[in-house]
Amino acid sequence: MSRSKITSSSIQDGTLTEADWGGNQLSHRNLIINGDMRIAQRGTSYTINSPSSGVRVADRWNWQFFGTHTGSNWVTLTQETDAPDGFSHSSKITTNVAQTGVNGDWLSYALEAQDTLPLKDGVGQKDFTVSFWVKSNVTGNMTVAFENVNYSYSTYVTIQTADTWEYKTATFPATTLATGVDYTLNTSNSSVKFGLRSSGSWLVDVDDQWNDRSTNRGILSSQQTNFMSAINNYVSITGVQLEVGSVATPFEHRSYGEELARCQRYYHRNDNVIGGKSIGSGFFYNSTVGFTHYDFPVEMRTAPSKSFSGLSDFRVLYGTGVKTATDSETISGRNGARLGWTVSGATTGQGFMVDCNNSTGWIAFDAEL
Amino acid sequence: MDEMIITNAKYRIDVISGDNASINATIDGVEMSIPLVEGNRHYDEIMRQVDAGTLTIAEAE
Repeated sequence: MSRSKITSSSIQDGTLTEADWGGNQLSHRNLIINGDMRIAQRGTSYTINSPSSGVRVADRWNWQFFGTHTGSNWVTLTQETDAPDGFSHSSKITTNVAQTGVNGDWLSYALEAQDTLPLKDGVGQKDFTVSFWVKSNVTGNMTVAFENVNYSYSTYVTIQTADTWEYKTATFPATTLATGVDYTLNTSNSSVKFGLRSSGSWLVDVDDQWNDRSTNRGILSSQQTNFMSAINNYVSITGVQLEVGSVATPFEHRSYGEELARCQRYYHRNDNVIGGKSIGSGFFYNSTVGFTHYDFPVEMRTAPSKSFSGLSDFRVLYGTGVKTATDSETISGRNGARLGWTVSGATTGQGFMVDCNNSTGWIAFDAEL
Repeated sequence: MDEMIITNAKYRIDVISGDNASINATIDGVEMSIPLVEGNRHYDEIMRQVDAGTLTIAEAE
């Protein structure tokens, strides 16, 4: 068991050992990246108007909406500066159209398998605790669930007072069911979920126990409140921490730079906040194609997918003028990418650079889980 | 479970090697260039939908 406070009486022989603080590491004990919702490379607001595999505003956090929803533009996701003491930001979901149908909606955080190694205990898994701050205009129960490829555990916390930040914790007991987990992979083997509403097949059979997912695919508690039952309902969350042990310790704050770099392992976006920012230089391979290289700020989890704002936001600058690319291609690895630009009338071997020609262009690389 | 909505999937050729090097597709409304690498969630989902017979990847021109 970890301790939230170390006192002189807890140090038995005058020497501070791991056992004195309960076995949990003192730093980097929070397995959640961007738990304080400060990083939002994709933007600070997004309104959902069609089904999708999930929507991300705060980095690493995925709002997922399953089943049939009522109307269009159901919800708006935002990064907010409303936060409890000790925090600067939160992630907020606001309901635009009341949702009462059969759905399973939740906020999900996927853990990279090799980063869950601290949870490993022989062939099983240690106990761990999830703590967070939550605020809503609706009082009621919110599911907190942990899901793996072969087992899951669902419980809930109760929001007791409307429009008030409340601190919540949920402890997940050790289990021997976590067999077969490969802690060396860069893929995901588990996720933490916070429920917004649930019904039908999204409900777990039994709360507060580890359930075999081969026979029980539900994930949300039967006690889950529908936080999306009326227009302007909202749920805000921040300060999420997942740590080994049965006691929640204070949130582990990390520097902005460290947290940004951690997020960039999964997603990197280069916004051109001022026109003229270069995104790469290279040479014309022939009269119609030129290559530039692009280095990622950190090694990404896997070779990422590329997206950008549009070819019209970029220009090809060379010795005697400017060209506009009519097409582009990308070959990416974990550390960088080769970007190909289709132009006309280029001189083979001539050097060039590509930059943004306005203040709205961006290029992004996605290696999310 | 709602899945990625993938349209306009098409292989792209590396102009140097002449081999397929990536897939261009629109995923959840965003145009993307996807590497042919297992573990990339977009590539994995494209292949899952191809195997399920619900998606076809056009050959490169």
